[in-house]
Amino acid sequence: MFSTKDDNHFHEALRLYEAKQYKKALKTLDSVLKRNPKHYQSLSLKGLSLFYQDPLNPPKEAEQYILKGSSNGSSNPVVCHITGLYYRALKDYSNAAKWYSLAMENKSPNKGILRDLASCLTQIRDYKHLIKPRVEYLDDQPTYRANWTSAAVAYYLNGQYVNAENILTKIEDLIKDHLTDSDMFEHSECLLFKNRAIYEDGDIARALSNLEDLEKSGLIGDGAKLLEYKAEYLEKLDKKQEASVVFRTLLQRNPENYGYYLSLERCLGTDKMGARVRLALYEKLAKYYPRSDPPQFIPLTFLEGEEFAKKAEQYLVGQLRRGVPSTFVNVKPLYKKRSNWKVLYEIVKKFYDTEENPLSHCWAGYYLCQHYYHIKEYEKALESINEVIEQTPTLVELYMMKARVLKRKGLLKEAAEEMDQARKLDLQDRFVNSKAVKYYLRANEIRKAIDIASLFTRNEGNPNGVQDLHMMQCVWFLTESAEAYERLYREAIKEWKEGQSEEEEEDHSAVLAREHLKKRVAHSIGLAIKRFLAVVKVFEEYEDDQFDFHHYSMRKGTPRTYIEMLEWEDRLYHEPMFLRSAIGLSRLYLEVSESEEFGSELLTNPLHNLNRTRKEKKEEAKKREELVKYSRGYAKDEDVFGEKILKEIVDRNEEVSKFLAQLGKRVADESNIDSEYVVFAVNQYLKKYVLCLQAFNKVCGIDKESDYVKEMYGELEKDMKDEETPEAVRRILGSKLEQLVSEQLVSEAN
Amino acid sequence: MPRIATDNLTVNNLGIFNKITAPKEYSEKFIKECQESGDLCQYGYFEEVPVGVVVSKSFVPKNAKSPLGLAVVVLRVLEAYSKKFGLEDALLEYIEKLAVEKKHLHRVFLVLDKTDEWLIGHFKERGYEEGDVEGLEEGSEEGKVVLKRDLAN
Repeated sequence: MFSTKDDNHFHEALRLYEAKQYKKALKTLDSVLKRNPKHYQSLSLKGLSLFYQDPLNPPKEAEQYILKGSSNGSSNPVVCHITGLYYRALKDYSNAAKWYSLAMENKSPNKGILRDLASCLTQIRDYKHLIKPRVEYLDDQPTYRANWTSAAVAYYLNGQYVNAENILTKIEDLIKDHLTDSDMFEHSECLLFKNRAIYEDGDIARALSNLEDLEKSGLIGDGAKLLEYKAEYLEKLDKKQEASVVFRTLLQRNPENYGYYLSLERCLGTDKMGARVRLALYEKLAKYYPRSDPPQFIPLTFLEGEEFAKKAEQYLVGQLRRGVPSTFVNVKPLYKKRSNWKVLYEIVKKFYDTEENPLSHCWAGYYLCQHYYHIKEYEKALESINEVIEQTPTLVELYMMKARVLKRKGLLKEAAEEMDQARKLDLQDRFVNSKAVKYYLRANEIRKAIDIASLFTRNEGNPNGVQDLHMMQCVWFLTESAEAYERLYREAIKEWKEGQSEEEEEDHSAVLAREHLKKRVAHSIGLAIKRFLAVVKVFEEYEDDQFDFHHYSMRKGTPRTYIEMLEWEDRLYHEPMFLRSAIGLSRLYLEVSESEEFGSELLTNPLHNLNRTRKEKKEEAKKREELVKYSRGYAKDEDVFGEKILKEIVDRNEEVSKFLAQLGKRVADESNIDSEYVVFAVNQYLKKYVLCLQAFNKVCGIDKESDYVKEMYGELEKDMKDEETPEAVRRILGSKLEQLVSEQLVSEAN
Repeated sequence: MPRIATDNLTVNNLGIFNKITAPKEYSEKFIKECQESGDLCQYGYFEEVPVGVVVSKSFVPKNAKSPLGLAVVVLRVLEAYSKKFGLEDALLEYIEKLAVEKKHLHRVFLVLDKTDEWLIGHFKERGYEEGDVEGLEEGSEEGKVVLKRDLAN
């Protein structure tokens, strides 16, 4: 169809492209396209080269050329491949997978595409289509074990455990005489992976016998996991006695593992027996493992009365004497039982009153403070901690504890100052540094927080660590900052609304102050949104980070850990830390889009000619510069205060809607009230009222006492009364809300 | 017996200084200089918690060219930890050892508060004697007493 000359030139351009000489490649491609504007490969490659010339800020033409090439040349494997590469570079994995598949369907001889295709398919969790490319690639390159593992993993992910097992057995047979020392780690992991496949298929007895063969072979490196699997299988096969022996072996390996003790009891059946038998067991175990904590602690969870008091005293006094700072934390689980409170308190109080070693005395006082804190008697907590601070004023932990109490009492500024005291005692302790930062953020003192955090960040060329904290994906800092800005916004908007009713005629300074307040409102909410968005970005990076592992883990031979990673990634957007930001974001977006002030006044330029004096202008500029210094999160960010985003929200920009729809989809989880709240808020913004109602129902189902219920009810009521809401929807909402009131679900809300 | 030890002041733990000497407060500059003087100052540790501090300086009398000895100008231990655990001795021993082994000086002077009778008595038992020492600035302040000991003997 095309002259060979064009193809030759195209290949020359391809060579240049691969050598990253995009300019030269483009020149060559232009010469082809001049002669033959329908040389689709060249159109596609031109798009890709244009993209890679400036990948962070690609020109619009890049996409146009890609589209031109792909819309007409979709039967050409090279065009398909290039299009796939383009979408992959954009991280649009689903389109990338589509085009890679097309390339293969069009008989591309380049089998490497299969590998990329498999990565894209895994990334979008399209396991159904994953088997084919993995197996095809294996057929093409059977000499690498990685490809066998990949195919097995693909079967495993589809629940086809027998196929996975067969593939793994085949490669084991092929290589068993050729293994070198450096292969043994991979071999061990793959053997265990196969064992898991057998287990998952449901034949536990066979899994067990396979595991026992592995144990005998001595080929398994991960001894702890081997034993854990073995114990698990034995227990499931109801061979409790044998399982208990394995758990005892595991205890020898690690006598600090709390779970092993409980498992052992389960297998021995003592967990259902009386306290006396159990205590005897633990006393015996304590003799074997005298330095371990669990055999000392676990009896406290089932003993009662005097026996409990006696053992608890041994446990507590032993730790306080040794000066274990975490003594209270260690026994905190015992506080679930209310009758324990007094017993534990009296033990420590007696020790506190009689102990002569000043440091042990101090740790006891520290315990007492935590005790009062836990049972919410904050005055007494303060009293206890002040007493020991006076005696040992050089112990960091004491000040940190005092700060916590103050925070709980709502004295946020004092709490931050106290935490800062602790920090000053040990400037190299990053933990207390970050606590001080957090406390200052809670007290809305963002600048101070940033200054302190910057002592530990890499600030190269920047005025402080804000950018580094973004880059280092410091999620807690971003979240706490966002919430601090949100609080500042709430203060500012309240002030703004209160000032609205004032007289029209105002003097110059009042007008100016109003103007500054306006800026404060916009900046604080803008920054709150920016910081929340930064958290979203970090999580997206987490999601993206897995991409390379679809290939790398196979080569490294770590399929078990790989699958664990996939499972973790699947829950990524349900992490509480992510939800916190998702809640903040959806709430703020909704608020801005519904607020009249944002639409009409807050984001506009000054209405009056302000006639600022030169001095005032200078001051403003200086202030702004300072503000930018403390606010810029990314090196080349043009929209430091999020003003552009705010405008987009008010204008109901399509990108915003897309983003929110995606956010709702990401967090959706019927069993989580926070997730469903986000789904609700997002759909409020998108005006999808039926979905709102569904989310509302779910939230009511989880906890009808939740504060969310009230808020959501109010929103739905507003929608029902809003004349812009379609009539049919208003009727549905009306009847539903009526029903809710009659069911007294929202009595208070009404 | 609890573990007693001494260790250097570092740029990161200067915040402790005034907590130990309270209610007396030293200026930031003074504390910084102490830290910069290196081994002349130490914190005293009780089970890894700093509870005492000693500051000494090289004592060069007026018109003299070489130092006469080390002069301890601050020696404080938190009340709850003082007298019983030998922290004062540990801090002083450190200075004495420093003087003899590293600085090759054989006299140690102590500037103490007159009111601190226990400490004065305690160190006298250790071989320190009261005496006028000319040219020791800190010693001539109101309410201070100077003790000295010749370590060559």
